[in-house]
Amino acid sequence: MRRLRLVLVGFLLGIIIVAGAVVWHLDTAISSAFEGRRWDVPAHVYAQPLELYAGRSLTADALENALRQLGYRKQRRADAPGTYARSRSAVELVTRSFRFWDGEAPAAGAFVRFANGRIARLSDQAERSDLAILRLEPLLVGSLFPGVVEDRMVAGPDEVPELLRQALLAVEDRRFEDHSGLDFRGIARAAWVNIKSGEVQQGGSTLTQQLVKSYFLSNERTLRRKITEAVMALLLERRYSKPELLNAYINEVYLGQDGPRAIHGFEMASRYHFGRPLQELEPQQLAILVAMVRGPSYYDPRRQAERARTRRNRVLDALVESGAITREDADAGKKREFGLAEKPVRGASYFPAFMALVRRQLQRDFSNEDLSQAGLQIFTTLDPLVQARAEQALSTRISRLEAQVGEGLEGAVVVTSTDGAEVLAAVGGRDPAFAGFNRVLDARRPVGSLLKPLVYLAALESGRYHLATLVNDAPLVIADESGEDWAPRNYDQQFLGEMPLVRALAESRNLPAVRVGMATGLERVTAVMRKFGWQSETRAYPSLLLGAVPMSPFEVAQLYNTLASAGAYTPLKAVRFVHDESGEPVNRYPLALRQVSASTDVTQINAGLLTAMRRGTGRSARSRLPEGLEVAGKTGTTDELRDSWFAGFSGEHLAVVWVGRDDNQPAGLSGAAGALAVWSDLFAQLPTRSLQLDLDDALRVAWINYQTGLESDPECGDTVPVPLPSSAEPGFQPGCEPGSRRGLERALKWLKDKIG
Amino acid sequence: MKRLRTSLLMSVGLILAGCASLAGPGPTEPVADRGKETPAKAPVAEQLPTVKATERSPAVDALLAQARAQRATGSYEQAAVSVERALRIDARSAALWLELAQIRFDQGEFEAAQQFAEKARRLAGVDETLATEAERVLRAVAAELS
Repeated sequence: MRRLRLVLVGFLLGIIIVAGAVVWHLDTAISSAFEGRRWDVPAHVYAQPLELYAGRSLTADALENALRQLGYRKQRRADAPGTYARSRSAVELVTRSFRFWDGEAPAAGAFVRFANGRIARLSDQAERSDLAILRLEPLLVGSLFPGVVEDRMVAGPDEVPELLRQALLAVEDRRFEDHSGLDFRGIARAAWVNIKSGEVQQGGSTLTQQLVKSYFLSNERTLRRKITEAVMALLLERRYSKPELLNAYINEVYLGQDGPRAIHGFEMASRYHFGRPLQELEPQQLAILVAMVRGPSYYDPRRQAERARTRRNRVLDALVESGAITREDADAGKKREFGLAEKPVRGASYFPAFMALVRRQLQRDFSNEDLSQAGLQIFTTLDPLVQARAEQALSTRISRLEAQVGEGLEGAVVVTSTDGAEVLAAVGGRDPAFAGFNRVLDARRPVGSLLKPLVYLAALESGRYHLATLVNDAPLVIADESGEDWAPRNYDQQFLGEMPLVRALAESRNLPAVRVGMATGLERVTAVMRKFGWQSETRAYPSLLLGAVPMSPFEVAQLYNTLASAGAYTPLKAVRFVHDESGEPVNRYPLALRQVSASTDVTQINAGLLTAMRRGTGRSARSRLPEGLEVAGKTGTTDELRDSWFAGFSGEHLAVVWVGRDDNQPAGLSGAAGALAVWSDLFAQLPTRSLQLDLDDALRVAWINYQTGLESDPECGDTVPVPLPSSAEPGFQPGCEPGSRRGLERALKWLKDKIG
Repeated sequence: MKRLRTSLLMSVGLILAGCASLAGPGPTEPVADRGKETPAKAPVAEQLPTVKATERSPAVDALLAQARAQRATGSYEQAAVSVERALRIDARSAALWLELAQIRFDQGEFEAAQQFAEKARRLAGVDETLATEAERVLRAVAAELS
């Protein structure tokens, strides 16, 4: 008998220990999963606000798109904040009030007239007096948690309409406030109803259980899973208060799919379906969202309108029953149309690659404690218009390229404003809403010819070279890092002999770059890279000169932004300001620059890159760009056509594009065929200023022969204009001395006119 | 007489034409490029794009005026924010970079003031007033930094 009792006790103890271990394990899982997900302290992340002013390149369509993204309602007249009216070439609007970093801007009415792709006039609504400038409220693009990676739209407790809470309780979990995680009465009743009707009609799960289920997203419906979820629900209730749980639920519950991206939470669902913030929804719209909790696709208001309507109405009834709204309001709501956005607002507020940049910048300057203040407002540099165009250019062009070279291509794009060094757009892959591998930051690839401008800049800085200096495109053998012989070749396997430096750069010849780089000194080249913003260790090997250095598109953008701003180094930034809830500044990232290379030297290199676009390896872009738009840029192709790079800029914007394959197999595309095509598509659409070269007193413009580098009359022979140091004297092209031809040709022309 | 003159002129013309073709441009080498076969000769006498004066913008004027007012009352960061906002509209305005230099100078940030004043000077171009003003700031900065 005694032994039996001992065995029983031992057995019970064993069960208790095992159960305890399981519970402990589940508790750990919950705390780690919910830790940092403090739904009451979302930091709101905003794009840069759209500024309206006379002269700005903007179309009425573009403005209307921006307003729709912001959730403005289109009406006959704009008579309230958040509304607009549209005629063919004019938009009338009333902005919403918004607390910017420099103070509260009240709601303001305005009339915007467009002509020739620009804002022709900005005035008050009555068109009486002009307005100098008007700032729309910035687009909310995401939320951040201190310790956790999250790009979701989140509603803080005071952004959740009370009616939504009441609807959830009324419909999903009437005894939410009272139970401790499981609702046994509910379970029993559901079982009874289901048995009676012979089918599963009711769930009986509490909101807490649904929260657990929604969070640990797998759809197993085994008994074991149900027990696990039940235990976790109980544990959750012990850890968190009712309001916290409800907030978590509101922001976690699965409410459908936006392509590959799951829609979690009512704020996201509100913007996706209705294009408006949760706070602006009507009761019947809230009811539709609550209806979708039971089955987002089953009750999809777009595809299953009848079902959605029936269920919506039942939710409205439940609200009446619980006393949250009156019978009259409910009936009025039932008569309303859904009010869905014309098209689902796809990826309108989902920029994972850009958010990664934001996080990186903030983590540099803030600890997690700093960031966990409630209600932080983060104002970024993202330009939704540029982002949309960049995403479009990349995905469309990659599809087309795949038709030629086969499937499996990927890409990345970064766009910056050159003088401000602000990141306007970041596209991490051809499917931008898919938060997978962020190629902007994390795809490090050898950059090939992209380093040549810096190699030649080092040469110019040494004082021994300028654009007309003859360099030799001839074979060379040198020792590489392991002491082996290295005989670099050109892409076309040819050697073209002596040529002016400008041509070697524009046509991306390999041998001149190696010769000049070695003569100038590898340390000088790495020094230029570092002062232009390159932060990793670089070993000074000869192959560096041909770009055997892996870099991310973001790192390339930093280097080229310094070139584009004529040698002024500014760290690229994704965040402008951080404020706390009451508008108190937490941090500002002011404009700062440091001239790290003489603008005289950089301007010469940029002239070389301009030549590359006019007649060098980048010339295929010309036909795609608007007439008169001057740009500069560099193609980059790596061994066996593995990587296709292009980095190019106008007078206002820089974009770096990479196209290739994630598995590092050859993409089969040169820099011009792949990345440049994407870049051209983008710049064909982007309102941007033409490149202007700063020619100061230390430079003079000379026309030199493209083959010999000797100075020529512009119209004699194959010439290019280049900025040279004032003291440079390249010598003269025989028969083409400046001024010599003009007299002769003028006479000839006169004769032709007389005779012919 | 007329016929003689014409034949003389024609002969001269022929001789000149002959000379012209002798000293003419050599054949241009097509650039061996990745994929494109078009010949690489540039359009005749295409100039380098150099700096053009930008149009006055009421928005920039308003923001600059606001910045100056803010600086006058000692709200330096606010003033800088106004200037930065204007620079996003027109980054080539020497007046804006100069104002930024002035703000930083007033704040005692002389290195920054120097960088901005240099930029303003470069962009001032033919505008004597701005160039002179930029140089004045640079001298003041040099005095502080020495």
